[in-house]
Amino acid sequence: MSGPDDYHHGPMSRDEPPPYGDHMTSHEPVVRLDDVRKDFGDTAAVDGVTLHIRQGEAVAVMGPSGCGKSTLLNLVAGLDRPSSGRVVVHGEDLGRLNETGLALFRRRRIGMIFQFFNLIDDLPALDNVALAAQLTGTPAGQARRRALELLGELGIADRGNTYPQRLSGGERQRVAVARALMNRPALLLADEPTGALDSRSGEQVMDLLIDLNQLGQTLLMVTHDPRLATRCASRLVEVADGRIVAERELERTA
Amino acid sequence: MSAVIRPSRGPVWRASRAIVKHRKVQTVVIGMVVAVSAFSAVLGLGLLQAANGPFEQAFGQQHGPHAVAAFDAAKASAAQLSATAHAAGVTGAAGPFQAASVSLVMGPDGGGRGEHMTVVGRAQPASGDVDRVNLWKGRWATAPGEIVMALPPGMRLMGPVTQGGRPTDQHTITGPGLPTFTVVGYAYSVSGSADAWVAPSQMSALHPDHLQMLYRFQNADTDEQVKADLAAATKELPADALTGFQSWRTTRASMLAKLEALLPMLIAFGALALAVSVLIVLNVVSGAVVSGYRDIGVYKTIGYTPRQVVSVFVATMAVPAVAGTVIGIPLGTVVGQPLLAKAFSSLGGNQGISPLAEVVCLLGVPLLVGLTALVPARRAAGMSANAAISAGAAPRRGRGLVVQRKLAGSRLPRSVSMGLGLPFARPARSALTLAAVLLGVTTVVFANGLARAMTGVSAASDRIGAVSYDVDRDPAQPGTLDAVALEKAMRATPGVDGVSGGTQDMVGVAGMTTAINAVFYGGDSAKMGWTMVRGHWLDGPNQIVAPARFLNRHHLALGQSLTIELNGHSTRATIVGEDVTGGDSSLNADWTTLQQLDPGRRADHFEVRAASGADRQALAARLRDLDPSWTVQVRDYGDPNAEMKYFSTAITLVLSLVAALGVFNTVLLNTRERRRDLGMLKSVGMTPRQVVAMIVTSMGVLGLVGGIVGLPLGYLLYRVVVPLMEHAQGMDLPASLEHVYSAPLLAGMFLAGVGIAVLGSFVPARSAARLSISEVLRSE
Repeated sequence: MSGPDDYHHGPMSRDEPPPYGDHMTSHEPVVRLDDVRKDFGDTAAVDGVTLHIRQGEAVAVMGPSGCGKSTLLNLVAGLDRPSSGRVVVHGEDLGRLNETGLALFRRRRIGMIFQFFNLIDDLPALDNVALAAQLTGTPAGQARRRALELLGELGIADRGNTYPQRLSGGERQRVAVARALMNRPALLLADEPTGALDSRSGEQVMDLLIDLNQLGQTLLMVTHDPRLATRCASRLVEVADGRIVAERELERTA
Repeated sequence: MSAVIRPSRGPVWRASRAIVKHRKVQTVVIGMVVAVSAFSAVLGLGLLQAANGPFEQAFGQQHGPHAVAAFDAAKASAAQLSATAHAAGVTGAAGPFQAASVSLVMGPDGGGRGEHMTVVGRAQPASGDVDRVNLWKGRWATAPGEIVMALPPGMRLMGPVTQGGRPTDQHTITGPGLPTFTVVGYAYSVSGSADAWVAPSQMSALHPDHLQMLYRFQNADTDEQVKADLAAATKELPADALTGFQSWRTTRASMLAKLEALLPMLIAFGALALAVSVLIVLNVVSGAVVSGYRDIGVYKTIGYTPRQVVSVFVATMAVPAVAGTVIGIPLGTVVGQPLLAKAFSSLGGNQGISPLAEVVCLLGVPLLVGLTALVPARRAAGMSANAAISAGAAPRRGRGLVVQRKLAGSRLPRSVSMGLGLPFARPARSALTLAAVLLGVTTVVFANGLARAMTGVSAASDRIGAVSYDVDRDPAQPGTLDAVALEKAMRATPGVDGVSGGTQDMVGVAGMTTAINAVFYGGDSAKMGWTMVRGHWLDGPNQIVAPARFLNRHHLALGQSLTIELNGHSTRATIVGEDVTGGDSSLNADWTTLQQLDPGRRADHFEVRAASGADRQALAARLRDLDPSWTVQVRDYGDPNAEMKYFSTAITLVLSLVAALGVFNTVLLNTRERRRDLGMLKSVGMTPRQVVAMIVTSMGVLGLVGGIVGLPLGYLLYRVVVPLMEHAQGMDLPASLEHVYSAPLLAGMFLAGVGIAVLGSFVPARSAARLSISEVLRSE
């Protein structure tokens, strides 16, 4: 059985990549799904999906409820394991990783944003953000400094000592984004990031995602919201009944 | 086709059934907890009840006689005595039985002195409704030459058992001018109505000297009542027909004196067991209801009234409560029965969990569960539906925030610092869990100290490490060596490190009305491992070492001199030491004292110490080869405190298990409530090992606190109970046996709390570590 230390050999290293993802030197896609299938009982939530995402791309996955788009995201995040096919993210075949390996993979390679933020209510914003780095063994002081820096970049440095329940929806999602970026992920995954926000907060989050992508951050988002897709994504993937039914490049709208 | 009309089961029934089915794990855990709690409660109540009136219980079970009366057969006939059974105030009687007071010697192989015994002729162990003696081994005496000896269950006749030089398990007993009887059974009469029984037809050989009647009376609460009842029952008999009687109150007082040491321990363990069982129910049931607040909110939104909601949750708890109680009580009884039988073996070993304790638990445990569920359920029922839903979704926010904030900034690994903060999120639940762990640690510390003290007393009493062999004269065997020659031969035997010869006799002591059993030691007695409470062992002429009971009874102290008398001679000897064990009528004196009292006396018993590294069995064989008229026994008395140690170990294990189960349940509830947080933490890269570390730490900290507080509590309990036991036994313990807790032992027991916490939290922590994040995030 492999432990955390076993995990560190191979394509990953502890060296810190530059801000907002790195930056594989080859032309390998950051995400590669090859004929991936995920069954829940007799139902195929994802049915033979092949999808490649290149570095710096912002891909939006759209489709009706229950079409399998969140499952697709979970497979890329290593939260679910495929029933068949391969999921390779940043050169790492997720099917070959054990639970610890997947945890370390998530910690170092991806950041996740959820519709309902999923912040820890017992911790103030700053510690919620710092948490992701502290889990890697980063000392508390250093983690808090980096968290404060990120909150500053996202425009909510003054809310660092505020507990989640006292933040607005938009602020909470910014804290969640800061947490997702804390370990400089190669890939940022967003599951309905504006789904629980009012329109103004939603706009702010969209602007944030665009800015991040423009700084080189690779994005994969799942959404119902066509505005989010057309504003933030460079490519749109449409899913129905677990399959990709359409795929097209997008010109971002203002 | 006829329609089948089903009775409407109502919304309460449907909802509670749905919850039980949906929350199978919780239902099973509550059932287990209630079972363990009922188990612990019935054991605790059983102990407390057994400690309250143990003699009365044993006496009641045997229908013991309130009076054992002896009649002169020349003055009252059997028919006259039979008629007394129907006198007013007599509720039961047995007899008349022929009885003989004889001096019997265990042997020919026992080698002991004759003992005065009352032998009664009885056709069967239970004669009528009075004095149903417990025939616990062998069979009743029915044929010529057979005898049944009175002994508490589990005990055995002392002395070497050999026949023609070979070991045998058959004891024989005889007396001057009497036939030899073979012991065919052992029976126990709590009232001590006889020392031995034979078939009635055998009594003529024993020359019966009186008739025995056993009576039970309507009013027999005091000696005076018993005396008056007996006088009333025998008023038709000649005035001096009644030659003597023993009241049950006298027997009771003498029995209780033997048990007093046990009672404080039973009460302490019983109270601990009860406290733990109540705590664990409070913890688990209230936690389960609180974790069901969300469901309460949902039921309210669909129209359940507050009363219906409360009923649903109380009914939900009723299923595992009843199941757990029904399983736990018989288990507690099955385990408690042998424990109490062992503990009270001197009362006949019939003690056990009483039906009353079972009934109290049968009603009390479900009632406790119901009341515990009722309080939080009523609170939730009074909330608005939304408030109940949000209260049940997660622990109330804002608790222990300062602590968590400080921990977040600490240098500890984040999983550990988060774990340290978790107990503050549910302070009440954490406090109850802590209390269970604390009681567990207290029990471990207390029981461990008790077991060590008992082992110490036992070792000090038996001197097993020092005395390797007991060598006794066997008059039935031919031999050539007298005591002096034997001692010389033994000293010359390779492997022998020391030999101490001795003998004992009943001596008079000036100022004392009863004879004292004096044991005289010579030779290397100082090498024989005597543990002294005060003063020193015999190291010169005319010295006495006596046990605390003797000194206390006669108000004596070290340095005082006594005049000892034997066979018309007397000498003075000074008390130089107090040893650990011994009765209130015994003392030890040096050999020169005996020489002054009985100059020609020789040793009839030797204690031999083997040199370290000597082959014990080979040395025993060499000693046996010296002379066949001396028997050589390897000293092994067994453990006289075995039942107490067994008892304290069993209780410790049970209470530790109960505490661990409390922790288990707390972790189960905490992780269920924090599913979303766990999912989120795993999504940002918390590894399974870190999840386990966080959860185990959260309980480990409670275990640590439990250790810090439980250690002094257990020690305090030990310091309270052991002196009570010492006092009850009339003995003093040397400081070496009172201070049984060494630093490494204390450190180990300090970690007992952590051990209990880790034990209880590890399994649910691992299960939480395996939680599927995608499922959690989907459901939340």
